[in-house]
Amino acid sequence: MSALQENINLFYSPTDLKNNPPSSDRSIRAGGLVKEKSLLRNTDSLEIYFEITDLKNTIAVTYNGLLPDLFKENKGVVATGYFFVDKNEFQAYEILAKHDENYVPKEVEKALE
Amino acid sequence: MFPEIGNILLILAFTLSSVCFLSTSYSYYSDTKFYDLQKSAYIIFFLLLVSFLLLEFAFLTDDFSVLYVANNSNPNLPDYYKFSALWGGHEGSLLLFVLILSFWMIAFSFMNNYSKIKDKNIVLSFFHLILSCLLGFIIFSSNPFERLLPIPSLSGTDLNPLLQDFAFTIHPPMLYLGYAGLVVPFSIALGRCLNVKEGWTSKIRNWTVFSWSFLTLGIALGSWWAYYELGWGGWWFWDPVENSSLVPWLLATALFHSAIVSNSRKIFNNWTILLSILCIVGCFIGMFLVRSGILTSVHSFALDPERGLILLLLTFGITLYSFYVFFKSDVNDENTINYSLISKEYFLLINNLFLVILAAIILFGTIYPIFYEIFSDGKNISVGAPYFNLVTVPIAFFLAFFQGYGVLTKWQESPLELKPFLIILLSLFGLSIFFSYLIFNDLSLFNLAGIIMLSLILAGVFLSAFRNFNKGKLFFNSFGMNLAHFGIAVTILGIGVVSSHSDSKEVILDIGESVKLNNYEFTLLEEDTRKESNFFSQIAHFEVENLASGKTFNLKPEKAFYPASKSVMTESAISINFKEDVYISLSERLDTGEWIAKIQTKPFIRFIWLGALLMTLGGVFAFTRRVFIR
Repeated sequence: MSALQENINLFYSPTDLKNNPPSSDRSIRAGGLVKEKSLLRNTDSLEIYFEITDLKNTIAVTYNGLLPDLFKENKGVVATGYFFVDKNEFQAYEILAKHDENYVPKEVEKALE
Repeated sequence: MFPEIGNILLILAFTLSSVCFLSTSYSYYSDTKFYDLQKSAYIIFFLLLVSFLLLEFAFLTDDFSVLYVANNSNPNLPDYYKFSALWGGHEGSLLLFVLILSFWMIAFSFMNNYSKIKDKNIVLSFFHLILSCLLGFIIFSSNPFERLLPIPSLSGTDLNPLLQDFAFTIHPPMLYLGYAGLVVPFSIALGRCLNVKEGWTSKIRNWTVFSWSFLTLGIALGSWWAYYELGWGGWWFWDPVENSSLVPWLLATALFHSAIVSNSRKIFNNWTILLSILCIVGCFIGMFLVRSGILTSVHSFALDPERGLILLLLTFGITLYSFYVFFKSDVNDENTINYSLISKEYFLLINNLFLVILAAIILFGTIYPIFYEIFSDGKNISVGAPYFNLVTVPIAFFLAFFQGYGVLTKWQESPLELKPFLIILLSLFGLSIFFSYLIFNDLSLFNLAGIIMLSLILAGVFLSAFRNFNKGKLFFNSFGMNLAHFGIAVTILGIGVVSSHSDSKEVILDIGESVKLNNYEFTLLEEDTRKESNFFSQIAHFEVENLASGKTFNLKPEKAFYPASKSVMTESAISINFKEDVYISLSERLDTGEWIAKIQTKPFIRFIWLGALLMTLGGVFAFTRRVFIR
């Protein structure tokens, strides 16, 4: 049971993160659309910066790693990681890959409503 | 025209199957005459086969007026994949499933003779129950023959590129042979509840072992496919879809072990029946989870609440009905024996207990997000892989612990002969540690756990094989079992090593640049492109040098683009080796011309699937030995 409690990742939309931020030591999932023209890449490392929006609020995401094939601006994304309120920044350690480009994760769909 | 015929055949099969179930139920409860329904089983199989072939025909002739074909195929798709595209989506895969189910039905009725027509009918009627439910579901809410009229699609959307692959063409059929095969013990068990006793325990044991073999192979193929086709080298993700197949597999494993006891000792009878029912309930829950889209998964079918609801109702209906039949029955053990703590009965009881607990906690973790969402007013969660690893590894450890000595025990009471067992156990353990140091210079806790499990299982297998070696018949009787247990040890070896000694690096490389990982040096030589009928791709040529041996080999990972579905695919390149796979996948090409790539080493990963293959062969051998060679 406690194994389960420690390993569940709650889902937050950018609006949830603003209104009700989780503590920074808990792994959570954040999702929405990748904001247009927000993707920046460090030239000599794998560090990436982009923004996730639910069309009401936006959060900054940093990620160090490879992006899934269907990661595109204006498309749905779900990232797992830690949220730091003081910096208003989400540090992702995993970006969820989606195989079907027409498929929107149901959490993202809900976040956009 | 042809799709309509296919549709009519489906409706005929549905009607015939329902009539078979209803008429048998009527005859049973009103105590009237039973009609021989053997022929209708053959007719249903024939109807479904023709229906299946008509859908194949629509795929091969690019009939995009059929909605399902339009959604899953494309004129440029190679013919081989057009053929397998039939089971690339929800509707077609269900049609394949019912076809396989009807095949099991005729195979079972062909190979198993009952002296009374009544008995045979009762058992077959439970096949018909499942079959007619699924056929009804296909016809009313998942019809693969639905037309896209008046304006048919011109080109079709294409088969998902991930599914344009050899492993995928055989993975679903194998898996479905396994799932549908579990309907056989289910039917026999419910038949036993209605007093059909003729050879029920040996039939359950044999047919469960047989379908379990296919299930094992199907799951392993899925894992192998995910490893090279998803592009990032993982072989198990604790994804809801994977868990949905693992739960029935664990239950089926428990089932045939319990059926062995029921068959030889005439005890555990109710438990065997309960497990047979739970296997099918597990399959239906899995079908619901995968096909309703209720859980976010990396490879679920499209979302459809209506289908989900129907499947949920079907799951509940079949569960309630089976439990009704089960609880109304009056099955008793035909034997009362006392067995000691060191006896085959007791060890198999423990095996069953742990397997069922394992299945339960995996199922619990899989469906927990659904309940959380309901009871927390719509909050979404996901359960991370660490949960599954944390709870499954200790239980698997206990299983191995009892499995090792368990195969050496005798019925009722056996003397505790630990000496030879411990000697072999310790020498295996020592050898494994030695080789682990020799190869990896290291020993992690996880690998150590794997080595202990492996030594326990192998000690039992070797000793059992050795003792029966000169006894001819006995050796062959236990050969299938020993081979399958050996397979489990091989899989555990693979899992232990790959989980603790894999290495990976994410790199940015320009043409001509090199990077080192472990014993290998990777050099990006050049880039290239190629064009096929339905995709084009960018290729990066890597030269990999093994610094220890000085040998070099080339790897050419690709980034493929499929215009019809506008999707991008990562085609990894793998150097396959028993000791260690070398794995490269391309992420993306930067504007500077550099490539982002992930390079990995995956030691012993082949052992995971090799072990599964041995389990399958062991199961098939045991089945063949019991059924054909007496």
